[in-house]
Amino acid sequence: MATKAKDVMVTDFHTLSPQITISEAITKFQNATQVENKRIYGMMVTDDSNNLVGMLSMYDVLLFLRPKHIDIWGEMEDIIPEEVFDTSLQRLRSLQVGDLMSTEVISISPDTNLLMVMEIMIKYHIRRIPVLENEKNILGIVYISEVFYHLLQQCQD
Amino acid sequence: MTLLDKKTTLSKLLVKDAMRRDVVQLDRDASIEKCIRYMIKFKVNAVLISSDYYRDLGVLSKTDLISLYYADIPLSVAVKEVMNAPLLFCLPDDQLEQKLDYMNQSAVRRLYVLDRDFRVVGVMAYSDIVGILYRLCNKCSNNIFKANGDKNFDFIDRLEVKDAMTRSVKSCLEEESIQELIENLSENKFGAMLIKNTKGDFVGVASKTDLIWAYKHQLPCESRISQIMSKKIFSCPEDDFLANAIHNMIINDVQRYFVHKQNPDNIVGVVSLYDAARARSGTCKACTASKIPQ
Repeated sequence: MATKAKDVMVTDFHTLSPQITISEAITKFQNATQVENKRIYGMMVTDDSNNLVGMLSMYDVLLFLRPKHIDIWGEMEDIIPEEVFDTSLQRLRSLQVGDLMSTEVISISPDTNLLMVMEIMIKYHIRRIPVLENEKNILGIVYISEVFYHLLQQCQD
Repeated sequence: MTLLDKKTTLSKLLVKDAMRRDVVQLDRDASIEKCIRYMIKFKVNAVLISSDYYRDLGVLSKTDLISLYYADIPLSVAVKEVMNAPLLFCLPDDQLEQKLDYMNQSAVRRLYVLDRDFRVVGVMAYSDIVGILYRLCNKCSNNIFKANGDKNFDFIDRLEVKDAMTRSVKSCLEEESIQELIENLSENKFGAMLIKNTKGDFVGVASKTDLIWAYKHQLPCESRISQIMSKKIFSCPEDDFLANAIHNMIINDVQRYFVHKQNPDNIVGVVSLYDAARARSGTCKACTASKIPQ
């Protein structure tokens, strides 16, 4: 029988609220990483009714930290990165998860075929996909590592 | 014609040399809330509202959003309902100088760049011009950053902040309302305003970015300015080299520095990336296009 998203999804997942600050979210990333014993690069953001409203990844935060004129920095000498990020970090402190999260979230149903899950990850360069029931209730999340090891298990046998 | 207008390092350049290729854009049905989120995240002053047909493209700038905030327009409204259209365009192979004049005459801050199939391939805003000016100056052997502590280095002909700054300082009181701040910014066409306390000391700056953040978080316009202002005031002395000020604005990712005379409490003006771009001369009075390595 074909493997589906529900066979590889992780149901013990972590979520963020849009109202918490980015620094609280970073602490949650660190805690989740410890609990799961694997690096967590992104988390689902849910509202009070537990509906998925977005995702926050490390990429979203780095995008904000990236200086606007980064393209000309290669030609500037004596730049001290710590000084540069100091201002951006100050600004980051006043921001909340809801200010930086991505709301264009691709989701799958529990019955999505594993090959289709792989295809979505490759096509959209994403490493984690929420699994929703009736396009609303969060059942779990599929990580690229689960897909990878599941598909490549046979290689090792 | 001022001294600044006569000198230009941009004469041989084309729009495609200066334009920004990452154009932040949104679907027409996206909400105002999403538009603000994009502006904060991608640090842009305007978002292109996309369409299949170039004449139907629109734009929303921070200034537009602040008016919507003032008018109490709900954040859920679709951007197509409130966007500005039609846009002004140019082509990648247009002369940069000509298009800067066109921007100036049309009183717009940016032009969108279309390819031959009428697709948007870039955007050219004043802050991007500063990027290219800075790059040219950096390549030049007369660049002040090449001095490296050499006391004999010739500093005589460098432009100073006071050559490009706007000599006008307006401020609001921290206990005034956001509504009053918006009225003041619009009236003076400023991007940010200094904030004073009742003793008359400068205690912060409130910018359009702070205002769109307040809009997104649905802070009532009656709230005090002190709730949204940034306490850090970036300032530089008026006799500092313009090159230094631009360098610091780029490093700190801010669009303006306030200018002080003698001591940081005595603020006498403001210099923005926009002023620096308008000056168009790079940062050295002696500089001409022929000296710039292309």
